[in-house]
Amino acid sequence: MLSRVADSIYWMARYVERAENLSRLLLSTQDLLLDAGAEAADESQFWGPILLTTGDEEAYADLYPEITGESVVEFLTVREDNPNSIINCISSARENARTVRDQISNEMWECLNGLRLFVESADGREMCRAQSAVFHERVLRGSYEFQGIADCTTPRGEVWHFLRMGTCLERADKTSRLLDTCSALSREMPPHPAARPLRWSALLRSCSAWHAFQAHASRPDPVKIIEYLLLDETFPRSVACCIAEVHAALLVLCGSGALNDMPAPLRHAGRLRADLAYTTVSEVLGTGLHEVIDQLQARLNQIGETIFQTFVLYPDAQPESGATRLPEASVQRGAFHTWNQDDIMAQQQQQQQQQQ
Amino acid sequence: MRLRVFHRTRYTYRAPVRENHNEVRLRPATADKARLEFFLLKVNPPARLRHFRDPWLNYVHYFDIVEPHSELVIEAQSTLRTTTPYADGTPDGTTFTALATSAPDDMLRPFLASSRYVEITPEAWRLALDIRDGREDVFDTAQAIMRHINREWTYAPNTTNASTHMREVMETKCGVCQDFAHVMLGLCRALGIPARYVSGYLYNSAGDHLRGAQASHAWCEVFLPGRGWFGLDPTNDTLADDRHIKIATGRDYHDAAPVSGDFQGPVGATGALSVELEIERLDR
Amino acid sequence: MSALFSQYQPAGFFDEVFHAPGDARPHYDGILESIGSLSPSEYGHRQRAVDTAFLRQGVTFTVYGDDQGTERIFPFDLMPRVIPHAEWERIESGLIQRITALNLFLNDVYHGQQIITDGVVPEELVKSASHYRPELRGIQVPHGIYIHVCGTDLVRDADGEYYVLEDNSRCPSGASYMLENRNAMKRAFPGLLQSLPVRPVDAYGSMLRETLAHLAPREVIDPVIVVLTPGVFNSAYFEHCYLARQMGVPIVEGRDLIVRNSRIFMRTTDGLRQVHVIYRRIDDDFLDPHVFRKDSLLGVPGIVDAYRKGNVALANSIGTGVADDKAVYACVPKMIKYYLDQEPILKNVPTYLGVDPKECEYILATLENLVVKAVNESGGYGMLMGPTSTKQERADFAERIKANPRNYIAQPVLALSRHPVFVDDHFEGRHVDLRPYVLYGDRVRVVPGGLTRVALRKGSLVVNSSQGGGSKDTWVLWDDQSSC
Repeated sequence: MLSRVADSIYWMARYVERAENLSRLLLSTQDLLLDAGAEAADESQFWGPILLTTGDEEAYADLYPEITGESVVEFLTVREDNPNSIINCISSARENARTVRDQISNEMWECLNGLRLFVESADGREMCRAQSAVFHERVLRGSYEFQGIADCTTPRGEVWHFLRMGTCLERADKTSRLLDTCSALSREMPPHPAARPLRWSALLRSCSAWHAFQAHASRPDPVKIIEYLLLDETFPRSVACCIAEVHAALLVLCGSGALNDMPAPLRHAGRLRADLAYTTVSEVLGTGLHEVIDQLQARLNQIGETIFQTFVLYPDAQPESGATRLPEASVQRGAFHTWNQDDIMAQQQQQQQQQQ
Repeated sequence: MRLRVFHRTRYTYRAPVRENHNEVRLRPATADKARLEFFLLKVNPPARLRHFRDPWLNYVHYFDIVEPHSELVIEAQSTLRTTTPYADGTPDGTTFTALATSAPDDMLRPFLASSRYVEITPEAWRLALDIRDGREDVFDTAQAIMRHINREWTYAPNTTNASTHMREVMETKCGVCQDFAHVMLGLCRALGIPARYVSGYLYNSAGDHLRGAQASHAWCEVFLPGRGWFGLDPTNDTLADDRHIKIATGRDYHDAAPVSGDFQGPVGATGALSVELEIERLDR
Repeated sequence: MSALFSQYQPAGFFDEVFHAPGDARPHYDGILESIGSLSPSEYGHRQRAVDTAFLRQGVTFTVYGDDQGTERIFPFDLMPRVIPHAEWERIESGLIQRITALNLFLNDVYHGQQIITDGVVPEELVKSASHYRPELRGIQVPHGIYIHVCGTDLVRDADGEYYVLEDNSRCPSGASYMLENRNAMKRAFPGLLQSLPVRPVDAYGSMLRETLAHLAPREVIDPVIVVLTPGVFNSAYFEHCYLARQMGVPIVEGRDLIVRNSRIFMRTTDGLRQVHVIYRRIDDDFLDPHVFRKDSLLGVPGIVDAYRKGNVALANSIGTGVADDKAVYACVPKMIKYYLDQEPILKNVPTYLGVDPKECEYILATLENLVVKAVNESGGYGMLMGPTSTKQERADFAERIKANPRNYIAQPVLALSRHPVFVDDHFEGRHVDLRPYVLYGDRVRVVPGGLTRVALRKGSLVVNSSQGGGSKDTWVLWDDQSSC
C-alpha cells in the first residue's frame, strides 16, 4: 500500500474515533449534571475537566471568558477555529477518506460523507444549538455505523490494520485522559452516597462501560473501575485491550515478531502490552494514577510516532534533493494537513483538465 | 455476413533501413457483392499515403519512408458485408463449346495465358484433360479440378515460399494456398477456362476448420461468359462463398501480392515478418 | 401527449427528440411512452432522488472562486439522449479515422516531420503551438502511440450533421460521469433500460486498464499501473479516484513517486515498488520540475528522463497538446488525407486562422457573426461569442487578436442541436453536445456512449460544467429495429 494512503487511513480512523469520544463525553457530562441536581450549582466544576481531557483548555480560554456548559459544548462541537471540534474532526476524517476513496469501500465513504453533510448542514447546526444531545447521539451513531461498515466491508489486509491501529490508539489515548480527570478524586466512596459516585459512573458512561462493568463487578468501587479501564484486556475500550489490538496489527504488518531487528513500533507496543499485563492496580495506585497516565501518554505518542516513521517516512525514500521535509506537527495532526497547502492547492487547481 | 477484419503486418529489420518504398493491396474489393462499410489503412512510421488502380482494378496504396527506421507496421482494418454468389446453386450449363465460341476480349486474354508463376505446360494440359474426363460443363470441370488438387496435393506450410513457381509445385505436389491456386490456374487455363488469382481473407466460423484463415488466403476464380467470375477454393475444396473476403485479383500472386516493396539498408537487414489477423463476425 | 411535453417547442433548431411539435423520432418512442406516463411531480421526485444520491456518494466536482473550494454535483438531467445504431457506427468510424490520423501526425511531428517537409502543414504553425514540446523529438514512445485516451467533442448543426468541435487530446475528463450517469439511470428507470437494446458502458474501466497495460515495457508480465492525480484540490479529483477504483489500481500524487536510477518507484508501506505505466492527469508543464516548470510541487523530478529511457510509459504521452491547438485543428482534414488517403468522415467546423492575414481580416470584419477562441484554452474559457457580445467586448477582442493573431481562431456560430431538459415541472429545449471516449491501446476503441453535456441556461451555447452546464446519460442502441 502507498505510504501516504496508510497515513490517511490511520488518521481517518483516529478522527472518527475522536469525534465519537468527544460526543460521548459531552453526553455523559450532561447526564451527570442532570443527575447531580442541586450540586450542579457550579457548572465549571463539571465542564472544566472535559477541557483538560481534550487538552484544549488554553485555546478555550482565549475564546471564552468563563466556563459554562453552553460555551464548552459549542467550543467542542461546532467551533471552526477549534481544530479538535467534532465538526472539524468529522470533516478531517472525511477529507482523509476522500484522498483514499479508492482504497475503502463505497459504503464506508458514503457513511462518512453523509455524516459530514449532516453536521455541516443548516439542520445539523440548528439541532446542535437546540438539542445538542440529539446531535451528539447522531454523531455517535454515525461513528458506530462507520465502524460497523468498516468491519464488514474491509478485507483483513493492510487497510484494515491501519484502520484498527488508528482507532485503538485514539481510543487508548482518550480512555487514559478520562481516567486522568478522575485521578484527583478520592478513591474512597464517600460515606454519604450523594454525589461522588456519580462522577465515577459518569466516567464509566463516558467509556460506554457502564453495563459491561456492572456485569464484571457488582459495586462501583473506584479501584475496580481504574483496573477495569486501564488493565482489563477483555473490555474493548480499556487501554490494555486497545494496546493488545495495536500490537496484534503491528505483528501482522511487520511480518514477524522476531526479536532481532524488531521494528520500533512493534517493540514499543509489545513492551507496553507486557507492562500493562504484568502490572497490578495497586502498583498503579502506589505510583500514583496521574503519574502512570502521564507516562502512558508519552508511550502512546511514541508508538504513533514510530508507526509514522516506519511505514510512512522511509528514510531511504526521501526525495534525493531533500528539499521537502514533512513538518514536525504532522505527526500529531493527521495526514491530510501535512503539506504546505496554499501553494499545492493553487497548483492542483491550475491543471488544465479538459473539463466537462 | 457482416465481418470486421483487422490485419497487422509487422516487419522488424535487423538494422535501420531507409528509402522504404512499398505497394500494398489490402483494401477489400468492392466491385462485386461485398460492400465495404469502413476501411482504414495505417502505416507506421508515418508517411504520406496515396493510391492508384492497377490494370486489374485493384486498389494499390503506396508510400515511401525516407527516414531511417527499424520497424514497419502496416495495419488494415475494415468492416464489410459479404454475400455468396452461389445463393441460387452452382452456375451449371455453360459448355466448353459455348466457351470456345465466345471470343475472349482483351480483359480476359491475360487469364488464359501463362504468367509469371503459372505456365501451361504439357503436363498440366494432360492432367487437366484427364480430370475433365470428357465433361462438357465448364463449372463442373472446374469443380473437378478443385477436388482433384485438394485430394492429390498435400497442404504443407514452409515447403514453398512466396516466389515458388507452379512447375515446381506440379512436381512436389505440396504447398500452401498460393501454390494450390497457381496449380488450379494452370489446369483451368490449359483447358481454355479463363481463370484468375484471388488474394483475400477467409472467415472461419466456430464449426469450420478451414485452412488459410490464420493469414492472407488465396484461391481462384473462373469466368463463365455472360455470367461472370466464380470463386473456387482448392485448398479447402469448397466454393468461395461469403466466408471468402476478396482483396485483390490478378494473373497470379505477383499481381495480387498484399505487400511488395524495397528499401535501402545494409546487407542482411531484412528482418522478421509477423502477421496478426483477426476476423470477427458482427451479425447474428 | 403528457403534461411534461405538451408545451414543448423544438422551434428553429435541430431537436434530438422531436421532428416537429408532438412528432417524435422513432428511436425515442419507448422513452417518451415511459417518461410520459409520469406526472410532473413524480418525475421531479425521481430527479431529486438522483441529485441526493450524487451528493451523498460525493459524485462531485469542485468549483473555485472564493477561498474554500465548494463541491457541487454536476447537474444531471434524467431524460437520456439516444443515438441510433447506424448513426453511432458513423461516429465510431469517424473517430477511429480521426484518432489514427492525429496519432500519426504526432508521431511524425516528434520524428521525421514529413508532413512539414511535404508542405501540408506549415512548420510555423506546429513550432509556435504552445504545447509543442521539442524536448520530446526523437523519443520512441511505446508502439508509436501518443494519445491513448481522447474525449472528442462533437456537436450537431441545424441540419443534424455531426461536427468535431475539439479533440481534447491532453487530459479529457468526464468519463466517470458517463459511468455514474448510467448507474443513476439504472436506479431511476430500471425497467426502461432493461426493455431497450442499450449498449453498456461499464466496461470502460477494464478497457482503460487494458489500454494502459498494453503500454508497459514488453518484458514486464504483470505491470504496475497507477493514476497520477494533482491531488484532492483538483476539480476532477473525484474522477481520478473513480477511475483508479474502476481499474483496481492505486491513485498516487507526485510526492508518492520517486526516481531511482531512471526508474519510477512508489513509496509503499512495504518499501519501494517500481511503477511501469502512469495514467497521468497532470499537465505537461507540471510533470517534471527538472524539464518543465521548476516550481512544480505536483510533479516527479526525473520522470521525463525515465520516460525517455523507456522505463516508464505515460498516458497520454507528453506533447499531445500540439494536436489540441485550435489552429492545428484546422489542419486535421489535411492530415487525414495525407496519412490515410481518405476524406474525413466527421467534418471539422469551418475555421478561420488569425495567423493567416486574409482570414484575420475577415475575422476582424465580421466579429459579431463569429465565435472567437484562444487556441490553447479549453473548457469554454478565452472565448468571444460574437452575436451575444457587446460592442466593447468585440473591440477588446479585436485588439487582442491584432496583438497576437496566432493565438486566435474564429468559427461560424453553430446552431447546436437541442434536447428536452426538465425545467421546474416541464421540458424545455436546451443545447447539447456529445463527448465520446476513445481509447487507443492495441487498437482504437470507442466506448458506445459518452457524456452528453447540456447548456442548462436558456439559449446558452456553452455546455461546460464550470459555466453552468449539466449532463445526460447517452444511450447507444444495439440495433435500430426495435425502436426505443
